[in-house]
Amino acid sequence: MSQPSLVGSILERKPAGKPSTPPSQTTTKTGFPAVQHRSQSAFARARQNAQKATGQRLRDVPVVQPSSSLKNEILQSKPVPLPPASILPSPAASQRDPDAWRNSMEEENLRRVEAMTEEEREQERAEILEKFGPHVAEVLRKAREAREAKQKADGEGSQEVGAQPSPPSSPSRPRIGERTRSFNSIMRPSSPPSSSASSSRPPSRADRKIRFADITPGDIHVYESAPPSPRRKALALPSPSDSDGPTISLGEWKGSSQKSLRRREETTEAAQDEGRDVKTEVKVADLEEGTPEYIRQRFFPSAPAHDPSVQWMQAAPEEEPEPEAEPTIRFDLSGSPIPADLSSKLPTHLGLHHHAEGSHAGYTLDDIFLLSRSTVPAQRASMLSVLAKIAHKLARTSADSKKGIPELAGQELPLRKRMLATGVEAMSERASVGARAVELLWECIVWWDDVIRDLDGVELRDLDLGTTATSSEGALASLPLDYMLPQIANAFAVGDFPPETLVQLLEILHRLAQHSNAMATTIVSTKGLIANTFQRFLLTPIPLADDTPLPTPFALTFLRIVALSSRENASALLDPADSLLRFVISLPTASPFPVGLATTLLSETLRLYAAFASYGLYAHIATTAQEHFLQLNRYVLSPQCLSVNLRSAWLELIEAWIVCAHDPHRTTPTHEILWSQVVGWGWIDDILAARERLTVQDEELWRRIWEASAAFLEGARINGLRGGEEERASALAILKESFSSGVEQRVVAVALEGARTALGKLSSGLRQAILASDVPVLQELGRHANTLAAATRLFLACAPRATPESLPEPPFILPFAELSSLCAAITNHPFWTGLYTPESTLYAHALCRPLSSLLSRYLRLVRTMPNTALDLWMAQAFAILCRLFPGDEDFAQRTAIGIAETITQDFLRLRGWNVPEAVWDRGGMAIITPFLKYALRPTPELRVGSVWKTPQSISIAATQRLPPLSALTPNERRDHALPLAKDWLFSPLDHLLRSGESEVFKNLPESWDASEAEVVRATLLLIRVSQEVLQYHQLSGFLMSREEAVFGCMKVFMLEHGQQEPSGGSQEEVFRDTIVERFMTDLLAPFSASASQKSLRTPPPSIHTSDSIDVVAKRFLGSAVPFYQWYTDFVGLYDSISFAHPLFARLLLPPLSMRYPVDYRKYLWADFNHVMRTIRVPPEAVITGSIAEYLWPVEVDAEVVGAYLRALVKGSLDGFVRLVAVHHISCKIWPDLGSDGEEKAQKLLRAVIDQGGHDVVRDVVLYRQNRVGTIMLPPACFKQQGEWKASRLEFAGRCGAEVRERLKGLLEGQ
Amino acid sequence: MNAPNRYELYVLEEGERPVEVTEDTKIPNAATIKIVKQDHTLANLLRSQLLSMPQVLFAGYKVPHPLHPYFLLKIQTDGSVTPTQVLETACTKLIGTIATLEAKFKREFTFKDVDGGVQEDAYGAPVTGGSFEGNSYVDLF
Repeated sequence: MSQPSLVGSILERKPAGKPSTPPSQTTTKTGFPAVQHRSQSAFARARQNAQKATGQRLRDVPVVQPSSSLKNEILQSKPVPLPPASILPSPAASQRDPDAWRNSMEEENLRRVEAMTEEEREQERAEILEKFGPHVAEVLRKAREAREAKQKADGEGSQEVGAQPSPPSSPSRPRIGERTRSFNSIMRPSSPPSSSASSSRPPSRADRKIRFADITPGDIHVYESAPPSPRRKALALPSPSDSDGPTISLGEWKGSSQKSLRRREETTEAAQDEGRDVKTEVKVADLEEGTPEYIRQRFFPSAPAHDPSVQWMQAAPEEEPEPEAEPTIRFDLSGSPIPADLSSKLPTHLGLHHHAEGSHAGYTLDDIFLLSRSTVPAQRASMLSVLAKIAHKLARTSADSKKGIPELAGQELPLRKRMLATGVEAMSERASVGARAVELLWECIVWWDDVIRDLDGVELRDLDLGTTATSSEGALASLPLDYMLPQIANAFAVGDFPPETLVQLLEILHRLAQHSNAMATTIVSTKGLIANTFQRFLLTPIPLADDTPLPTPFALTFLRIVALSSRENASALLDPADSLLRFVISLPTASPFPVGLATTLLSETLRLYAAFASYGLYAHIATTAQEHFLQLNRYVLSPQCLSVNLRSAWLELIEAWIVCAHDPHRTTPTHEILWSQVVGWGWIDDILAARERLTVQDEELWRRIWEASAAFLEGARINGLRGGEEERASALAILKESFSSGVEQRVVAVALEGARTALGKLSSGLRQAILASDVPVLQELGRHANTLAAATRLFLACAPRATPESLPEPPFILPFAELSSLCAAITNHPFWTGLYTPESTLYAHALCRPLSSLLSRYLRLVRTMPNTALDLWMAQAFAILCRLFPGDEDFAQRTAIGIAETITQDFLRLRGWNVPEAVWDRGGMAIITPFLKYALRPTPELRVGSVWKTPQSISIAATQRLPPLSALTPNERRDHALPLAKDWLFSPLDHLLRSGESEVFKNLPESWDASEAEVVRATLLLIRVSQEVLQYHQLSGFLMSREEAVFGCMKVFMLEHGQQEPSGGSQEEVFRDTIVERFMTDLLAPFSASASQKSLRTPPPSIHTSDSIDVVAKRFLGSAVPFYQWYTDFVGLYDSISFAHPLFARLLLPPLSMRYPVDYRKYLWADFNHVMRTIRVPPEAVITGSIAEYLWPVEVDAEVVGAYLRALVKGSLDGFVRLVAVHHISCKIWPDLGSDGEEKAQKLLRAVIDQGGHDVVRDVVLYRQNRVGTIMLPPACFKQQGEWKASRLEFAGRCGAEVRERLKGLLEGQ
Repeated sequence: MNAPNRYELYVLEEGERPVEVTEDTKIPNAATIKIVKQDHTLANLLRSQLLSMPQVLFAGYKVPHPLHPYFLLKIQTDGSVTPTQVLETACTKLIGTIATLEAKFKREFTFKDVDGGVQEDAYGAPVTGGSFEGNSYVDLF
C-alpha cells in the first residue's frame, strides 16, 4: 500500500505552548505532593496505571505529560489520534484549548478520508475493525458523546469536572501521572520529560504482535544540534519549534501546519486563564519548570521569596552555565578531541556524559584516567581503550606538534608517563581489561616510536625524552620493570590473552630491549621471561595440528636485540638457543611450516647466530650441526632459494664464523671453530660460485659475498700456507677480471653513483640538522657505502701484504678516483656537525656508521696506493679520525700510531720545515704515543663491537650497539673516546695537568722518562703538523677553531698552576721553553687579529660558527668546573709568575670580548686592575676574529667602566687594553659616540679631567670610532676631524665653564 | 695536632736568610725574591708599592703553600734600575708611608684626650657608656 495506513503510529505533538502545571487542589492537603515510590520510572508507572484502569490496549503514549490547566487533563487522557472519520465522525470542535488541534486533526482526517476511493475506505474500515474488534465503533462513539457532554457543562472550566474520573477512557491515572510528574520535576530536574522519551516507542503488552512505527520521511527532523541537557529542552523529538533555532526539514509532513496550530493554541490558552490570578500565572509561566522559584510560586505562593532555609535549592541552577575554567580538551570514545563549541551541544545519548562534572559531552583526560580505575571492568576496559586511541594519536603529536592532537603538544611526555602507569596498573587484570591495558602499553611503548622498529645498532635511550626534554626521567625509564616483566612472563606462561595481545607484549619487550642495554639485561634476568618467550612463540608443538599456533619470527628478532645488547645477555641466551636448531634442520621446502614462514624463521635464526658470533660465542654449532649447515649452504646458494633475506643472513653468518675461525683463542670458549673446518666445508668456493647467479641489482648480496670472501682471505693470510698466497691467487683469478670489466665492476659503479646521488640529496635537503625526513636518504647512502666498503675490504684482503704500505700494482681495479672524491665529499659533509644539534634525529649517528667504516677502509686503501704522498694520507687520516664512532677504536689507535711514526725528522726536513733538533733527542713523537693511544682507548666495559669484525673485536666487545647520541656529545666529558673533537691532539697535556689521577702515567713503560717540557714540545709539534697538513690539503673543516687553540695553549701555561717551587731554578717553567714558546706562537698566529683583514670589520659578527671558549673548556673541565674558575686560576697565575710574558698576556684577553659575560671583564679589570698595565699587547696581536667584539656594544656595567677609568688614570695602560678602556670611557661620555649625554656622562668627563693625566684627557677627548665599517686603531682613531668636535665642545660647556676652557685647546686645534 | 708551631710563622730558623734574590737568567732585569717568615700582608703591600712605580714592568707574588711561611716576589724593571734596587726603594717608600700613617694616627688619637668628650667605637660612632645596646650587630662572641 503506497499510502500510509490511516491508523498510523502515534506522533507526539506539543500539547500547548506553555508548560503544564499539576492540579494543585489534589495536593494541597499537606502542602506536599503525596509520596510516591519511585522504583519504577514515571513512564512505566503511568503505563501500568493506564492498563489497570482501562484494561485495554494502549495505543497512545501513556500520559505522564501534564497539562497546564485542569481542563486539559481530560483531553490529555484521551487517545490522541482520533479514529478516522469514516468510522466515526469527528467530535465537534467545542473544547477550547486542545480543541484547536483536535479540530485540525479532524479536518485533516476528513480530508484524507474524502480523498480516498470507496474501495480504500472499505479496506481501511476492515483493517480497523480487525485490529480493534467490532466494538470499537461503540467505544469511540461513547467517548465522543462524553466529550460533547462535557463540552456543554464546561462553560466555566470548573475544576470539579476535572477531578471526576471521566468515563470510560479517562481514569484517575492522569492525576497520578501528574503527581509523579511534579514530584519528578523537583527531585530530578534533569530527567527527561517522559513524553519525549516515550514518543518513539509504542507501549508494549505481552499478547500483542510487534509493530514498528510507520514513519515517513516527513516525520524526521534533523536538528542542527541537540540540546546538551535534557532538562532545558526535550532531547529529541517534538517537531521543531521556533525556539529550536534553524532546522532542516527532510520534507513537510503533509496536512499539518504546526505553526499556525501552535499559535492558535496559545491564544486560546491565554483566553482561558480567567479563573486564575493572571499575574502569577504569567510569572509562573515565565519561570523554568522545576526551578525552586517555580515550585515556590506554584505550590507555596505564600512562602517568602527567598527563604534561607531552602537556600540550598538555589545553588544548583546557578551552576548550570558552568564556565569552564580552562578549555580542557574532551575526547570522544574514539579518542579524538571534541571541539569546545561542539562539546556543549552534543546530545547525551552518545554516551559521552558519564563523567562527574559539567554538562559537556566527552571526557577530559582526568575523567578518563579516573574512569580507567573503575571497578566496573567494562567501563575500565573501554576507558583504557579510549586512552590507547589517544596515545595512538598523541604519538604522532610528539613527532610533529601539528599532527595528531595538536592541543596537547608539549604535554606528551607527562601524559605518556601517566598512560604507562595506568596501563601497567591494569595489565595484570584478566580478560578484556588486561588486553586493553596491554594495548595501551603497546601504543605508548611500541607505536610511539614506530619508525625505529628495525633499528638494532644503537641504544635508544635518548628517544625516551622526546624532543622537549622537560623532565629528567623519560617515560620508559619510569616503567616499574620489576613489576611489569614478571607480569609479562606470567602472561606468556599462562597464555590466556588473545594471540594479538601476546604479540603486543612481545613487541613491548622488543622495544624495551632497544631502549638501553641495562633494560635488556633486566629483561634477561627476569625469571622465566626468556624461557616463556621461547615456549610461547617459538617452540610451538610439532607436528602441526589445525589449532596449533605457528611460531612467531618476531620473537627471534627480539632475542637478537637482546643478544646485541651485551655479551652477558648473549651468553644467557645460548642455552635455550639450542632449541632453535629445529628451524635449521629442515630446509624451508621440507619444513612443517609454510615456506614463507619457515624462510623467515630460518633467516632470523641465522641472524641470531651471527649476533652470537659477533662476540665469538656459539660458533660450535657450525661443527655440531655441520651436516645441516652444509645442506643449508647448498640450498641457500642454489637458485632454488628465492629469499634475498635468507641468503644475506646466511652469508652474514658465514662471515662471522670465518672471523671466529681466524684465531681459535679469541672465541668463547676457545677452539669452537677451526680454520681447517672452514676450509674443509669449502664455503669460499660456494660463495664465489654463487656470484655467478647474481645480477647488479643484488647489491646487498654482493656486499655480503665480498665481506665473507674478504674475511676468508684475511683468515688465510694468518692461517694459510705461505700467508694464504694460494687462496688469494685463486680468488683473484675469479675476481680480477670481473672487477675490471665484469659484473662486479658494474655493481661498484652503481653503488658509487647511488651514493653520490644520495649525498647530493642530503646536501640539498640538509639544513643544520639531520631531520626525520633525511633518514631514508641517509639509509640509502649507508647501503651504498656498505657495498663500497666491502669492495675496499676485499681489495685490502687481496693485497699481498697486510702491512699498510704502497703496492707496486693493485690486486684488482677499483674506481679509485671516484671513490676518493666520494670519500672526500662524505668527510667534508656538513651533516657530521649537524648530528649533534638538538633538532637532529636522535639515532642518526647509527646511520652514519657505514660511512665511517667506508672512510676507515678507504684510508687504508689510500696508504696502499703507490702515488699517495704521505702528507696527503696524513691529512686524510686526521680528518677521518674525527669521523669515527665508538667501535672504531682499534682502527683509530692504529692510525694515530701510524701518524706519530710518520712524523720524523726526515719527513719534516723533506717538506722544508725547520724543527729544532732538541725535539728529536728524546725520541720525537714516541714519548707521546702512550697518551695518544690512551686518548683513543675504549672504556673496557663500554666497548662497542666493531663493524669490521676482527678476532680482537669479537673477543672483547661488550656490546654490539652504539651508545645513545647524548653519550657522544662532543662538548662534554664522556666515557667514550670517539668521536673525537678537533682539539683531541692536546690530550697529552690533559694527562700532564691531571698527572696525579691519569691512568697513562700508571702504565707508562719503564724507559719513559721524558720531562714535561719534552712532552709539551712533542705535542705542540704534532698539533702544528696536523694543522699544517690539513690546511695544505684544504681540509679546513678539521682545523682547530680559535677557541680550541686558545684553550689548548692555556693548558700549557696552567701546567705551572699549583706547582710548589721552581726547585732551585733548575726546572724552569714550561711556557718559557723557547721551543714551546715558538710552537705556541706559530699555532696562534693564524688566529690573531693581524692574520686577517676581516678582524677590523664592524659591527662584530652576530653568529659564531665555532663553540665559545667555555663550551670548548667543558670537554676538559667537565660540567662541574666552570670555565670562569679556570680563568680565575689562569689570571692568578699570570699575576704571580708571568713576568708579563707576552703570550700569557695575549691569552688573558679572549674572554674579555663583549661576546662573553661581564664576569670575566669584571674579574680582570676590576679585581686585577693592577695587572692591566703589564698587558702590553698591541691590537694586531690580540687573538680574535674581530676587534670590534671588544668595542661594541659599549660596556654597560658601571663597575667595569669604573675599572676602565681607574686603570686609565692610575697606570700607564698600553696597547690594546688602552684602546679598550679609552673606547668605552669615550663612548660613555660623548653624545656623538652614543652616550645619552646626561648627568652620568658629565660626571665621567669631569672625573677624567680631574684625575687623568694630559695624554689620557687628550685621548678620551679626541677618540673617534666607527660603529659600522672598519675599526680605526690608534693612532688613527685620535686624529679624526669633523663636526663632532664642535658638538663635544658644546657638551663640555654644559659640564661647566672650566671644563670647556680646558678642552677648548684640544677640540679647536687644527 | 699537626699544626706547626705558631712561632714558626715569624721566627727565623737557625742560619736562615730572610731574603733571597734569584736573578732570572733568561728574562732581562727580572728577579725572583724569596722572602721567608712573611705572608700576604707584606707581599701585597710590596706588590702594590712596586706596581705604582714607573720603572717596574711587572710585579707579582705568590704564596706557594699556605702552611709554608714564605712568598715569592717577581719583579721585572725597565732596566733603569735593577729589581733589587727597585725593591729597596719600594721598601723605603713603604716605610715612609707607614711612618706617616703612624704619625697621623697618633696625632689623631691624641685629639681624643684633648677633646675628651666623645668616645668612639670601632666604627667611629660615638659610644655612650661603653654598652652595646642598639648595636646588636656587633659581634659579642
